[in-house]
Amino acid sequence: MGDVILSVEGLRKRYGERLVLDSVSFAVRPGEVVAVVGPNGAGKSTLLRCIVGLARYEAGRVTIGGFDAARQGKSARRQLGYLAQEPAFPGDMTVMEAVALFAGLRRVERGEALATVRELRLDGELGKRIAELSGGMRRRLALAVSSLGRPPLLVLDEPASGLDVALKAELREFVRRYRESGRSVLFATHVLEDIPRLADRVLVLANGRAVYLGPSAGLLMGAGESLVYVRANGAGSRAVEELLRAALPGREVRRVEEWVIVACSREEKLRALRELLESGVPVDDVRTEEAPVEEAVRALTEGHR
Amino acid sequence: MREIGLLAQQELREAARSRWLPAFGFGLAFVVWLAASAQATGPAFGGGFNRTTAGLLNVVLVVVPAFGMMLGALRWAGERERGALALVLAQPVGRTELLLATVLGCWLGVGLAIAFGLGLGGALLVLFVPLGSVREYVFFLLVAGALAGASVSLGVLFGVLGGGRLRAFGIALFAWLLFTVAYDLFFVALFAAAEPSGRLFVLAALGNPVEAARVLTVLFVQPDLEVLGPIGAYLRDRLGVGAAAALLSSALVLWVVLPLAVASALFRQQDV
Repeated sequence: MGDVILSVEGLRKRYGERLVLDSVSFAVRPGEVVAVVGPNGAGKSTLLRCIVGLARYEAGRVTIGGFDAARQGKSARRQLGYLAQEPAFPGDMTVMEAVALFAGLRRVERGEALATVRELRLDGELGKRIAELSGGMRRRLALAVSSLGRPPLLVLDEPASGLDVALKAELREFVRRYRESGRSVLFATHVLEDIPRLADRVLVLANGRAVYLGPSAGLLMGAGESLVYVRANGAGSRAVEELLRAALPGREVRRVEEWVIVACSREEKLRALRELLESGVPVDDVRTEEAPVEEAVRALTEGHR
Repeated sequence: MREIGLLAQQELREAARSRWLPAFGFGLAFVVWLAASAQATGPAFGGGFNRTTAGLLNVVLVVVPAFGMMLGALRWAGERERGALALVLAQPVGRTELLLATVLGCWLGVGLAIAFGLGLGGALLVLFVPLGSVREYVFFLLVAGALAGASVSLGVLFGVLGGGRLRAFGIALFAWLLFTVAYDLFFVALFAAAEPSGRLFVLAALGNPVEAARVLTVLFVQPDLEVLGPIGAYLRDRLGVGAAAALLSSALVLWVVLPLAVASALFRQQDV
């Protein structure tokens, strides 16, 4: 188990009659960032809550840092930090009281806890009551609390939800630094634009089942299509249009003003660009646009609804 | 243990911050002052601490269970509803540890309010009545503290059972009515309908923390038949004051431990 910080095997969970997780299995390696995506109700939050020990499961096994989460819950939770989708702090405490309480629970020295607070630029807020903080600040505090003691695994449920652009960028930077320090991050999100930038691998859930587990680049290649834009002047654009039609039979080639546009797979894109280059047809510009992640996830999950 | 200490401290801090706990403490002090001043001006002047204690007992037996149960139920269910329990339980903290810390913190809060209210009241009482029978008054204070523990423990159990604040409040209110009003009426009706057995007397005394606290206090403060009632009189006659007090004290301890154990067993099966 040394090469895996989190192992989930055959996890099954029901809410009443409804099966919300159906034999989900995956692992997270040290220094890896894994994103969990899927449509609403796919089981993303439930999966994370089962891992953290907040939700009970009827079958399967969760191991965190070698500790069985069901039987050695406290030791397992010592290996992780958790940021809930809507984090709430007990009672009516100040930021300092929260940091002191959670540092105490995680057995983190005061100096180390304050360093985490400084890293997330909360040191100016220590005397404030949590109720007085803005939503973004409260989320930042929850992130600080979850990362106290630098646990080997961070579990984040919709970490970017409700954050403004600047805070989102800070969060991405935080996750990047966390990964660079050799630790792992598992996060559920529906902000799919973050996936190529943040995640090494993606777990796509649909109706409680894992329908894709692999590199985020593979998610785009496997399910989506690319758009190829070629710009040429006058007769050149007609020549480009004909060349693409010949290279990509069955594909619709359109002309919009000076641009010739075709949607195709990754292999077809490479073939078309190669033939375009070899043909010597003069072109002014070539652009490609990868299929949006939303498209890829939708394609993967559509049949499982 | 460290985790329990930290969380109980936090509970106590929250209890101290709330307006209800100081209000409860000052309310109790005011009631003691009223009782003492009535005693000083009325015909019963000279009854000392015992007379005042007997008078206060009825107030404490109603107010302490109400406050303890409501506090336990609403603290637990409220924090759960807000999602704060999830944040705590995502730390290396056991579920039973969190329950224990909540009961301890709330108990300590109510206990301090009782100590403040009855203690301040007792100090004021010295101004009106001769300083005698203080030992019994302190014993009464301890029994009130134990009853607070049982009430808080039951309250937290109701919080676990209820899930949300509203349901937890409903269960706690129902239980309070049951323990303080319906229980007595039930046994009065039962004793009137049939010749009560010794076992029934014991059951009646131990099956309700409020009744156990009442009989235990009266045993020490004014152990005559009229005030003890049939249940207390039976226990005193059959077991003697010492053994009866030990039995009732154990019952109060069990009333703290058992609800907590049931709450722990239930909560371990629940999602947070």
